[in-house]
Amino acid sequence: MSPSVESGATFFLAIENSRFAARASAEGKEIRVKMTGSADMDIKTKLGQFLGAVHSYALSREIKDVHVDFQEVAFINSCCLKDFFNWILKVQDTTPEQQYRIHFHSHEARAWQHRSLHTLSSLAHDLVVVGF
Amino acid sequence: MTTRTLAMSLQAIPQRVGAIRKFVQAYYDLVIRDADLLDRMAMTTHELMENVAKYAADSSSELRIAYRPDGRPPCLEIAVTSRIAPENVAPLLELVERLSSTDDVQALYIQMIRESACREDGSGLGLIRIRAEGEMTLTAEAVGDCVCIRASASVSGPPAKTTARTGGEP
Repeated sequence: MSPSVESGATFFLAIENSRFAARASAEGKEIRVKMTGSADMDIKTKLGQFLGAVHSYALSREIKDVHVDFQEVAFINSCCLKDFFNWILKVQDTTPEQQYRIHFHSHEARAWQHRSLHTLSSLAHDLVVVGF
Repeated sequence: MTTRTLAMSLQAIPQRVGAIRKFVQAYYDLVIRDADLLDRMAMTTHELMENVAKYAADSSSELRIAYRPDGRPPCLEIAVTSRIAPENVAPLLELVERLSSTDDVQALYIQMIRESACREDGSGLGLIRIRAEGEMTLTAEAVGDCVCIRASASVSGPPAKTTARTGGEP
């Protein structure tokens, strides 16, 4: 899981197993993360490392916005959800100058996403933006 | 009275929990026309079965789901019974009591998320997620080392489609 260059983006990172995939790319002061499938115990360790790497990259490049496309995520268990909670708590722990916003883009018809993303935004209203 | 009950004896191993969730969601998709309730039922089933897979003394479990739209009161109930290590029975019952008796579920959820950040083994958030995001009431009862966790949600009014479907999981 090492950074590389893809399609003109300055950063690329990906994880996947048979049921879940996540990839990140960046241009300028923005990171875009695309996730698909179901995240459960099998991908938990990799997901934590992935989000940790996104956070480290964001700090090193003074990123201001991270967009997470959640629309094709079918399910996330509580263990994997914890990795998102920890990510947000890490951003909260940085200085105001280092902090960046995390925008979650959800699927309008996936009711569970609204509930889980509401919890994420409840952790840090000023850092987490949820939309379709 | 219309009751749609599904009862299964299952080996709850981690690799199968997702398949169990998909099955019950597909099964009740024909019955529960409220997509939000269906999602909450699927999430609750997943979290309860994953707890069995992670913490039960053996992977044997009984899963029972009852949908009673015409019940008094109308409700959906998901119950999972399994054997756990005897020393874990009292802490589990205490946790369920703590989750059930709180006046502010969301505040407790946020508190437990912050506490969980330091925890290495698992998230410890499955049951509070059921309570907070699933909007389920939780009860637990034990006979020896055999524990039954029961999650219940009220079902409002006649079955009606309230949210567009996504077509389920691939």
